[in-house]
Amino acid sequence: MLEYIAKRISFMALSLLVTSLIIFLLLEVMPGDVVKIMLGQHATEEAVSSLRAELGLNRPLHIRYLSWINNLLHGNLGESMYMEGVKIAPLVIRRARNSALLAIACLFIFVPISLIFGALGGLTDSKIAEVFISITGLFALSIPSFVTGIFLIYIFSVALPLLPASSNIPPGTSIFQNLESLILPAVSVSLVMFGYVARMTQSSMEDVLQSDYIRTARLKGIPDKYVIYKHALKNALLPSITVIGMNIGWLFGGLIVVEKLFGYPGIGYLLVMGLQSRDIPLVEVIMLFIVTIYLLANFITDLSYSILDPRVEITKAE
Amino acid sequence: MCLKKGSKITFTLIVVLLLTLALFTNVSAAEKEILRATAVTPGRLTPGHMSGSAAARVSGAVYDWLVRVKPGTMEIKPELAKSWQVSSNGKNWTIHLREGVKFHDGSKFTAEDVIYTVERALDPDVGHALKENFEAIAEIKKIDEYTIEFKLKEPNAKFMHVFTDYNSAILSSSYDYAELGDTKPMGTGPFEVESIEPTESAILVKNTDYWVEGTPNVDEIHWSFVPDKTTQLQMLRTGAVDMAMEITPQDVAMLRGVKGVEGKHMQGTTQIVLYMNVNEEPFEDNRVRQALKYTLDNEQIIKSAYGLLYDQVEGKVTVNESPLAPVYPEYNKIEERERDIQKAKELLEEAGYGDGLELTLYYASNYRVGPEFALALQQMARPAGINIELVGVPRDIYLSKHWRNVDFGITGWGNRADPVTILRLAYKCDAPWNESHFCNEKLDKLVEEAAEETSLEERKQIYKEIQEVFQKTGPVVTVNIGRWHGLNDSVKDYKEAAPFVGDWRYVTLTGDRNTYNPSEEK
Repeated sequence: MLEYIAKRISFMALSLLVTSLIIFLLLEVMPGDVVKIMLGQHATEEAVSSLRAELGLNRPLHIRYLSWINNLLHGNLGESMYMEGVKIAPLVIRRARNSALLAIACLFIFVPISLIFGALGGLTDSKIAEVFISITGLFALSIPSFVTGIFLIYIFSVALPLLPASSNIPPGTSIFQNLESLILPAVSVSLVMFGYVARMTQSSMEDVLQSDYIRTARLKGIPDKYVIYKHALKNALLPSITVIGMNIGWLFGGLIVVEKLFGYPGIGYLLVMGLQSRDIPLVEVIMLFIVTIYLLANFITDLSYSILDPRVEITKAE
Repeated sequence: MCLKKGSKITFTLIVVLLLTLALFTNVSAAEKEILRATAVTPGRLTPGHMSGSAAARVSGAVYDWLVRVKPGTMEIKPELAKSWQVSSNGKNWTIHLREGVKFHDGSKFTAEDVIYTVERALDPDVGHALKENFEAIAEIKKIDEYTIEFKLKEPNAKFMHVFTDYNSAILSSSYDYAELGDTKPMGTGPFEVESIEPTESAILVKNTDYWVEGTPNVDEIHWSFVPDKTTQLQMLRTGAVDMAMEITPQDVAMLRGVKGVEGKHMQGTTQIVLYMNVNEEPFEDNRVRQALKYTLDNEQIIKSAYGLLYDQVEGKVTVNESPLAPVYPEYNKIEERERDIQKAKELLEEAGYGDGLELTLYYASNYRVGPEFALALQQMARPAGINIELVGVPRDIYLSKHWRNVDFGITGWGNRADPVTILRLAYKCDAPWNESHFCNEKLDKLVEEAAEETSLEERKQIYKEIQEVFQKTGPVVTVNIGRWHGLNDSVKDYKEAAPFVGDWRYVTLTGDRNTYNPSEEK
């Protein structure tokens, strides 16, 4: 087990190194010029070259990459190129915290609802309920969150003005004073996740109920309640947990479209902003951060899967 | 059935969670009058490094200038400079400074600070945006604590205008702008910076010691920096902010149906310039340039850019053929060219393009009016046999890759206090940013005459000749646009001088801003 964890962690470190190089090179070939954005059209050649020197942009490619990695390893994430004197680390941490809060709000909303609906859909004998859950799930899954988001804004912020239309945080306050601004973005993401997870739970519940061991349990005369709680449910939830786990990375670092739509100050929105202003050091750090989140999420899912399902022996699961 | 208990618990949990979220509503601050405004992320805030309107508007509250432009005109009025005189040769400028002005850190504003501001701009290590403008100064002399003399290399009738630029805000000689300029800006302005949350927001509070008696009127300005225009508009519509700065004509048209908010037009010197490279085929032939101009219908260009708002901008947004915006006092109204397709065809025939002309036009697709202008051009030129292929790219790519490298492009220009600046930068034979490679000896002579002429009437006459040169042989067609802001009806007296500098001193808030129902239509 320990050996496996060590292997996984060193593999993660290697992946990060490779992605860092890819990110660096990708941004290198990205069109656009931060100096032109910073100084505007009317910048003199002199101002442009002095700013280039100041930003260290006139050094050779490999020197810049190595010095960036060296700084990263020393915990120095550097400063924003577009905003003078703005340190990247506190900015990214603040935004990542906001994104994490949004992800947690999503998990709170969709995990219980979709597991319950999915399980009920699988258990029920009523054809109508089964089809209803299946179709709702398919519907929720098929509409992108930015579309449901717009409908939600229209219904809850414009038609019945209950919730803020934009989730940006008023100056001088923190996200904790504005938790209501989490509701609409979280609901629009949750609908998509509900589609995935409820349908997955429903079908695996149906499979499990038709399996031999459930029939055996029933034939043995074990009460229905006990069969479902003790045997069916636990097995039926396993695939759903994998799906949830696989989406954790997306929830914590990939809600770019939803964050932008609602103006929610999370890491995804910061990435969009960084790209728009060609703020390469900032974009590099955010991309690396998101990759790390994905790697960690997958790692944790694998581990928890093996704990939930003793049949999975991780030492052999390479 | 069997899951009843479990689902009950979960549902209770969800309800509790949602209620908790709803209860955490923002408790508003007491009786303070807070003006809430939104703009795109301003980028750098240090004078000399600011670029663009958001930074200039935020800084407009933090700093003061020696002079400011009177809104709607390009005339200047005294601010930190009480008065000024120029010697008869137009070279020696004596400036008398206002006494009793203090910086936010309590230090006194004196001649030293003005000298520091100018010397910092000239320092090559700073990379100041206005370095070239200040290089007109040969010598700076401090006469006493509140008097300075600038000796210029060349006579310049409009020297004071350089101090209206947003990048020439007056700085304190004892403050570290290299370290703190972007995170904690400090000046003598009507508002002090309380906090800046990079990329998100800024809080400015009233400078209680401000030198203009009885101002500022509001207690605080809360900025929300929102890169997305749609979000900004939603915030304005739902009353989350009082002002949304720099919105598009399309946004303004949308706001027409919303009660309590309105789009306001502010006149400016910004020009969207269609340029033609006179060094290369086909534009080296003036007949081709003329032909293209004959295909244009000025009113139609404005209509296509402003759509429903045409009645609001009529007379304010104009199309002309010179780089002189009508808002300058030197501008002369000269007869506009009428659309004449027949004439255009004849000119093309004479120039040897009788069987059609293929052109590629480059423009910044995310810059105001650019795409609309380009599309209108494409449509209008077609009947004369000119086929224009459009290439729109983001503005920074346009500027770094295409601008000055392509023969046919649309560039945004403007916000210069003195039209001489633009003529020297882009239209004289040796101009550094001569995108159209235009070179006309008569024009060069006229520009220098205009720079030295101190009488407005005489200057106006010179500019008339300049305008005629452009009309006859010029390489440009310009759309003179202004700016739009979305304002809640309760915001009164926001002023903005032409070069973006916001004047927040006189802004007042009237009435209750949150009583209207955002969904209620007009």
